Amino acid sequence: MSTFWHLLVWSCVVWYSTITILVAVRGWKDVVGMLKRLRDAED
Amino acid sequence: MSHFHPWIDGSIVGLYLLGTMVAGIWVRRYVSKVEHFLVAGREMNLYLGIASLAATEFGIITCMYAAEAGYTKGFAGATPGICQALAMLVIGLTGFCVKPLRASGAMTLPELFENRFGKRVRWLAGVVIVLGGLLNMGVFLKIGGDFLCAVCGWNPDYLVLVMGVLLLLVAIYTILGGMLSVLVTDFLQFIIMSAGLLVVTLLILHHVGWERLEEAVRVNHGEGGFNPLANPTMGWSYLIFQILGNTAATLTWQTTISRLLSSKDAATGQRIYSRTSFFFVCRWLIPVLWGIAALAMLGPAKEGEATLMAMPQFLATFLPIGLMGLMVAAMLAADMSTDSSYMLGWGSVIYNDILAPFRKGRWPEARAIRWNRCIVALIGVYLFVFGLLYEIQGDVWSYLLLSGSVYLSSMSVLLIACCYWKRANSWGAFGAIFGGALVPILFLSFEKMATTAAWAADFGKDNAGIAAFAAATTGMIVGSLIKPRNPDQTAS
Repeated sequence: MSTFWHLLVWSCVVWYSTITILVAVRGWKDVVGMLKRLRDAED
Repeated sequence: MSHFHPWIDGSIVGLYLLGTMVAGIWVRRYVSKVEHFLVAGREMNLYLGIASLAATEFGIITCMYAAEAGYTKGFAGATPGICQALAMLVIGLTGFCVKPLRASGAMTLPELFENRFGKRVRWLAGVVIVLGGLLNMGVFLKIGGDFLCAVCGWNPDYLVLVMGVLLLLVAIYTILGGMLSVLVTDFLQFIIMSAGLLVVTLLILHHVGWERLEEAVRVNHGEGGFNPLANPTMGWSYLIFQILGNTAATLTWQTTISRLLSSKDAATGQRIYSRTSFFFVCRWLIPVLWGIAALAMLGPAKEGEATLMAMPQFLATFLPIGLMGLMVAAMLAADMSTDSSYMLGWGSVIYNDILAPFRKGRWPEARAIRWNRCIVALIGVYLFVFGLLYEIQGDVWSYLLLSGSVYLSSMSVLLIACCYWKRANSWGAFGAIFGGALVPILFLSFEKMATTAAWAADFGKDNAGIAAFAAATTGMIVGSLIKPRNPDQTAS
């Protein structure tokens, strides 16, 4: 069981690092796009 | 003695707070309709959704109860995270319940129930959701304040002040910008929070080392520290309640489904669920690791010592100056994103469902937004007062899951029946709501009364939680079957 948890801990570190970078880049585009659509709808 | 440096670490925290407040207050200009305030105009896309869901579902409270589970149960303490990740993945991939829910166009669960079970069920479902949700989040602020006082080495007498400032900052941008401010600040908070969590975890793995962590679990918990079924404080009833509770939370927890309901369409909502699913393993396992590190470095708790405070006490002396500021900023980010989403989530149910019968016709947008802002402010006041008065018995996670099951049990049964059981009707809905709410409320009351406290401790929170799901299901089936069928429906 110890090996299972060891692998899971490192999977978390690798997955979480990757998703953080991905979300930081593409999430910013989502924020800008969302605000633009709301502004356009108001106009 | 804490390593928190008032100037160096304080500046990092101050910079984070300034950035969040400016962003949160700036987007209020886009709020012109109540739909913007409650569901961000349903304009949320995939990656913003992932950031927001992850930031909302990880607060200081999460970190504290998961670390406590690591300290008292070892790696097996991360079991709820695995249960929730599996539930998220399966629901995201299949669209079970969430697809018809998003397709209905409802802003809250009770709004969906009205179409099937009538207005009274909608109102009562709203009351149960708010009751369970507020009971659940009432302890967030105090535990957040306790954590900050412990890691920064502040006098516990300042707890009320810390709680007040934390709440005020969150309330300002949530009241002004609603879901739009919550989403934008969630995005910033996700990045800060993730950076802090990853850096601290890597530092623990490097300095404490895997062998020492594993040995601490083996010496203090034996095989039960790795296998939940071998742990005397867990076992089958714990596992069953975790599977039921986490599946129900994924389907009905207001702050989780509000991300689904704010998404552009059902397919985007499902992708947010499936791609965020593994985060729920990280959400548990990372703080569990911190708790185990506290066990390895500080040793097991002595008689009467609070296991909840072991992790912050360990971090206070483990992290160097500079990193301490990053960790406090990360935890503040986690806590603020959780508090803001929860205030807005329950506020939206109060406005949309509980106050619905009192609104004659559609309110003007400005009036509706004003009411929503007042409701969020009142929830803030409640949080402050409840946090000061209520004392939790036993471990925090069990309390949260049990108080949450006041509505998790009944609402998940209602949602499944609403989507997939043709015979379900209003009598069944009332039966499920009363059955699901009665068991946890009775159990929490028995825990507080001197004459029944011993019996409640014997019965256990896990069995009470399972009983709540059983009562809700029985209520739905019996109620639906005994209600005479409408002749028109029978014919059709």
